[in-house]
Amino acid sequence: MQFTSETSSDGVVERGFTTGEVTGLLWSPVGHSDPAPLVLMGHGGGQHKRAPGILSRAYHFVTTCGFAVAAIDAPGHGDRQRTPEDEQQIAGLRQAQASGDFLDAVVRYNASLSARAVPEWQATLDALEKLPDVEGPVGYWGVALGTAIGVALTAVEPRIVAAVFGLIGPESLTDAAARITIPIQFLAQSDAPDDPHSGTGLYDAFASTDKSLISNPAAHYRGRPFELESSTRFFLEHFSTAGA
Amino acid sequence: MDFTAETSSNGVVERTFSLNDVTGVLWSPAAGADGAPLVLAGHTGGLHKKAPGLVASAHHMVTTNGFRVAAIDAPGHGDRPRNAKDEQWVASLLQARAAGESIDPIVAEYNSSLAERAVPEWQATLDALQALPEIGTEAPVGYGGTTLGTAIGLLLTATEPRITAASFGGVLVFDELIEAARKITVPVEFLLPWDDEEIARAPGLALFDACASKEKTLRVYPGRHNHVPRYEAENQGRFFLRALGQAG
Repeated sequence: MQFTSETSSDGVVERGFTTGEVTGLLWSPVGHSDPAPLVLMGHGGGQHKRAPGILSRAYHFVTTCGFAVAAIDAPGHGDRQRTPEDEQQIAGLRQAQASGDFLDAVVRYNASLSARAVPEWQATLDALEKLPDVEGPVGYWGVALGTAIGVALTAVEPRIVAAVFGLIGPESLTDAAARITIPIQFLAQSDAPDDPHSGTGLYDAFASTDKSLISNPAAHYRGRPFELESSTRFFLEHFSTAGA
Repeated sequence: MDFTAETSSNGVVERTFSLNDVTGVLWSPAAGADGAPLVLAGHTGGLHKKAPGLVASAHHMVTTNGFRVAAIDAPGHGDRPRNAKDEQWVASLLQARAAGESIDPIVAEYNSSLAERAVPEWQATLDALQALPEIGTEAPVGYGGTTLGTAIGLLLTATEPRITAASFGGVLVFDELIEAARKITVPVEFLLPWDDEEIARAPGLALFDACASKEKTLRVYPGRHNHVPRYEAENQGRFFLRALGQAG
């Protein structure tokens, strides 16, 4: 892992890093010397590691809980080159958008991204855990594409002890979800036009005994931070039971 | 409204009262602020105003939020006698359950009758509570309840403009409840048990969808309706704090 940049603002240090061809960001509290629990954040489709929804939540986790937070670009996203396979999938997505087969095409593309992203996250986690800033339990936060990748990752990665997912629930994730037993918080959109209460099927599939689903109309999330507070409390509670 | 007894423990003053033939209880902070928000709490079917779960969440609301909480016995529940028709419903409920038959039609009919009777009782109770100097007409009012408490609460909230926030839970859904939900526009939250053989998921989602409130949250938890996770009591406290405001 190589650090490529360092800036700080509002009490948060942001460091850019690369591991192999993967580009990422690590946020931690300014002047914080004690090792802290780590939250991994997966961005949505077409977005990147520094998308506003990632950045605002990362700052919240760092400043209110003292966590370290890491995000990486998914394959072909953000600072990463698209492979010919990505280009082909994206061309397919555009076509599907025109022909009305968009959701299936997204599921296929997400599955391809996820197969590549899981080992990338594991290598990133290996590298992050060697840093003196990071110690203790690991959580994962990601919705949409961040859920497609995160469910596949959490199913095979025992270091993750609590996870927040949401917004999508394709059947292709059911098998992975059935292998997950850690505490889950699932964020759904109750008025999603194609899939009301988006993801209740996936919520159902998690083997976790401690799992909650929170469904709101889309307008409800705008400018209202309380579901972020509820995710914050969720991580705090489960990190402390995991012995942070 | 006649106060019939007063006790206090852990900073919570509990006063039982009666209003005509309705029996109730009011919990207040020992050093409560005048005009602090008031939450009306509806108990579940077959239980009463001082059921352990209700008391625990009332104490939480009083000690954490500084709110007042009032509960009344539903008709034929707690300290109130059942009429002959109620006795029949309860007998057929127990019979159907024992025979492994669906209790849905009986519960729908019985809860509908209880809710129709309970709505004017709650309104009279609220009138009397608002006549108390420490509550008055300015204190914001919320409603919380599950199962029967939700059935009554939906009908009450749909017709009672003094209630400005409501928290509902798992309930056997019948048409009147969907119609009531369509009339509700205040901030609401619905708790839905995910694995309850007597409370199906789909009608619970449909009830939430029918509610006309712009600010509404559905919170799903695993298990049966009576296995509400501890963190949901805290979530409910925070919901009322956001919707009704700070005490004092």
